[in-house]
Amino acid sequence: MIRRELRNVDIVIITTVATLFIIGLLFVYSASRSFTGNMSLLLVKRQITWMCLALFCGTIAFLVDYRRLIDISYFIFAAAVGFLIIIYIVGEERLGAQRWIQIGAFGFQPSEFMKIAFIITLASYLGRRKANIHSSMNMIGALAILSVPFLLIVLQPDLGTALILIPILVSMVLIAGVNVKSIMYFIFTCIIVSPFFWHFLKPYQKKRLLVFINPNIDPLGSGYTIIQSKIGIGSGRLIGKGWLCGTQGQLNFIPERHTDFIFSIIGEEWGFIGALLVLFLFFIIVYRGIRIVQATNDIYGKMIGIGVIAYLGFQMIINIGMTTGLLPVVGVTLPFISYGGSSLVVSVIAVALLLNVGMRRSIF
Amino acid sequence: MNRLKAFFIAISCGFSFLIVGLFYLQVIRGSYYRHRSEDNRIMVVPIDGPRGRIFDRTGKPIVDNRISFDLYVIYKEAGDFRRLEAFLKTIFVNIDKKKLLKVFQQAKWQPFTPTLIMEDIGKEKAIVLEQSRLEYPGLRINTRPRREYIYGRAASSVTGYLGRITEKELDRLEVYGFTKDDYIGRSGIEKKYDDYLRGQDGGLQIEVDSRGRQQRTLSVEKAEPGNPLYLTIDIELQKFCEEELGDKKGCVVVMNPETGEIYALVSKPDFDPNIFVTKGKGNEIKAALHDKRYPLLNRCISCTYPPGSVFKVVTSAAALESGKISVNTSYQCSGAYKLGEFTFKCWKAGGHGTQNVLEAIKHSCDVFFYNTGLKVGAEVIADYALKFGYGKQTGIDLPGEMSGLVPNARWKFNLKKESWYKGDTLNYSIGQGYLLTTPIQVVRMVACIANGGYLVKPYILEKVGNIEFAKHDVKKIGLHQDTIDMIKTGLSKVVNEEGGTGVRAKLPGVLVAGKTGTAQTHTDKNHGWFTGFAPLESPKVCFVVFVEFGGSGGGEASIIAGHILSKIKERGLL
Repeated sequence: MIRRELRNVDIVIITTVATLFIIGLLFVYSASRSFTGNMSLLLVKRQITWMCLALFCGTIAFLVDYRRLIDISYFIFAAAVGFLIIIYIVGEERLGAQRWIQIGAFGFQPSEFMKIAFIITLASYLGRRKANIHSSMNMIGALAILSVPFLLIVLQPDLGTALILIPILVSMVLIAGVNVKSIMYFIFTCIIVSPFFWHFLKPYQKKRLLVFINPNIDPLGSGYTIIQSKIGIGSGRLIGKGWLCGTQGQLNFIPERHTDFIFSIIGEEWGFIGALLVLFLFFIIVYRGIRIVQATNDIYGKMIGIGVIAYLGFQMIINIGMTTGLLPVVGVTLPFISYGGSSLVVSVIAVALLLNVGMRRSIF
Repeated sequence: MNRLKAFFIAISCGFSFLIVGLFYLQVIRGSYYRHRSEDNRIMVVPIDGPRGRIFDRTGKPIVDNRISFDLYVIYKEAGDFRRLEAFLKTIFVNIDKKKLLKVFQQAKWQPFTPTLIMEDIGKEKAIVLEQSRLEYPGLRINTRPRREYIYGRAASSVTGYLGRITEKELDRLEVYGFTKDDYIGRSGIEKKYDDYLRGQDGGLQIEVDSRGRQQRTLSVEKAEPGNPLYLTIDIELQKFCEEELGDKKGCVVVMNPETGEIYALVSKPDFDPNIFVTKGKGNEIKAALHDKRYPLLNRCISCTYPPGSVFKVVTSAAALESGKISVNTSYQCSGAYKLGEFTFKCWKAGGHGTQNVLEAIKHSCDVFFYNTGLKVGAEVIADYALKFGYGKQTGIDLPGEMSGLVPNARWKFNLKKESWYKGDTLNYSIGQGYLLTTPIQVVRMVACIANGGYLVKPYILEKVGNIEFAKHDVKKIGLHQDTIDMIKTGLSKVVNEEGGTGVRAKLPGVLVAGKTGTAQTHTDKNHGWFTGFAPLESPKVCFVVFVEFGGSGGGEASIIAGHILSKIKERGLL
């Protein structure tokens, strides 16, 4: 039964993701060269290992009928929340935040998995209310589902991952058919209320926002990263300095350059052309994804599809925006490219779900 | 569908926003940023946290760190390779041109990070190269602390050696702060106390201009040195013992019977730990690792041997304590003992005549102990063997200790599916057969007699920094004072009376007590043991000398012991 549907698999998306991953390996190598020395392939090897795990999980997410996942959505949600709570008890602090659980040589970040769980759960909720979708009650319900994970993640503190949930929610709610007014009210309220959240931010987060407005108020501290990242990207000019030849990256200059700030290296070494290439590849995923959402008639499929697109698309926008200084620094990774197991595995699972929806669209 | 379109437009706006931003940064302001990127290069200079130094009991450093000067090149700054190569040839006359080429190829892959050309070039060459840096801008000299084993092979059985961390270990240990360049202890004290010895690396973040000249320091993280370790070892004694053993295979352990402090611990053949931390010693390292004589093995703790006649101490104790014999019990030795159709010989062909236990110990008469052993029985002997600490680890603070083997009937049946024979008991009584011990267990046994019946825990580490580390662990094993006194007397006769098997260990002016042992092997050469303590009245040291295939215990082993005792006296440890 499944073989017929395999014809519908979107090969373009698969090739695009593969290309992004390979680009990621090239730049993880470049970024980590100067601190791994003669074990230069260490991080690359780890990333490949993570990809194998990701493919394994992704294959499962792809083969299982996504409607089954919808059925067990509450279980998935509870499990993800459970993991987040476990973090408080056994997680380790790294860079001032409690986000990781260590298993052997590998770190595991449950907040990343929460994104998938959230998408599936919200899809289940909205899909079930298809008949009465227009009502504003659905907006409130969606926010209720958002609240618990949002709070748990923000308290870690991981502002970036929590914030991604908001565009995911807005996109899903929009496409589901909830009335536009309530969505607008929500966005409006967010903007009005945000100054009050200033109090709840940690000092370094406050600094990041201030520094976003003017990086030069703290050029050796919080502004450091952003100034140097801009120098890196800007100095790449049109065609870049060449792979492995970026001075900002090679000279241990940009912190977190193999994770959140990997785009700095791409911008510096492959220039504007390289940056456009990466943007183009992500755009293909978004475009093909939207086509899948358009083609499928199943509301659950649409929900999952749009959730995944919103996740990958907005996370990319926020990450690149952050490295170019267009947006404040919040810690989010660049999907498929940044070094990091949890990010990679979750991104691959997300794409697998998208392909899953795309493949089964002719059932409906 | 309008909603979907709206979403698509929204996300496309996001993309466009980025494209515009990137265009502005990279195309419009590109040259400005290019300029800035060339003016402020950041360099991270690691500051090594040196490994802790190791000292002997007198405070003399045994293991230290010395400065090594390493030569690096930075590809982007080096410019003309040929010119640089020619220059280097004038300084390093024997430099391998092919290797230099390989290094330059490798440097291309990390154009801004220093690539290692040569390690440990020596102070004079380092100065010359440092002075030439203006002419040859790509060169860099970096200093690193390097481990130095001042006494080389003499202390190697105690210190152990270091090895470079492997990728697998790094995967597991990275969370504890290990980095790719770290060395980790692989044997001995270096391994056992690696956690205390490891320093913490720091770093310097400096801004340099395009010529590599330091502009300003951005941040510093201080390095922490590792903890100094103070050992119980007396290095002069250790050196002497190592020289005494010379080319032979075997070991020497010298210990304080009251506290368990180890004054010397030598295992031969040994190795020079410096080869593992010096560049260019690859062949020596390979040789050491693959040597069929196993120089990296610490025979004092990791090898088990039949104890031979030194075990008669245990047999005597078992017999006296269980009341099976007394000082008045005597047996006749005519050179052989008949058991059924088998004959068990005594080492002296004509026999020793009639003896009591004191004389039997003095002469190491096998026949006496055959009789005694049978009377006592293998189970009781095994019991006392365990009491004296055989069959289990002593707990000495070195890695790789073996437990040895204390056999009994049940063990034999489980393993060999045979019942225990009387012949086995005969062998047991004289320390042959299935019994296996390590030299450290033997010296602990004799310490037990020396200190009045307490099993001590041998140890080597006395202090970490200013903190006392040693916990003097003693356990009373429950021997009557009479038994101890009797055995002591017997042991004294061995060395001080004419006809004793250990007279070659006699020391003028000091009453030495000891027991020889000759353990039969599967070849025609026996192992030689000599263990004992001094002075008799209030023992301050106990020792064991073991010579693999060294002939009888009364031979080489005793002679070596005698020399070592002189040195011990000289060192004031008596």
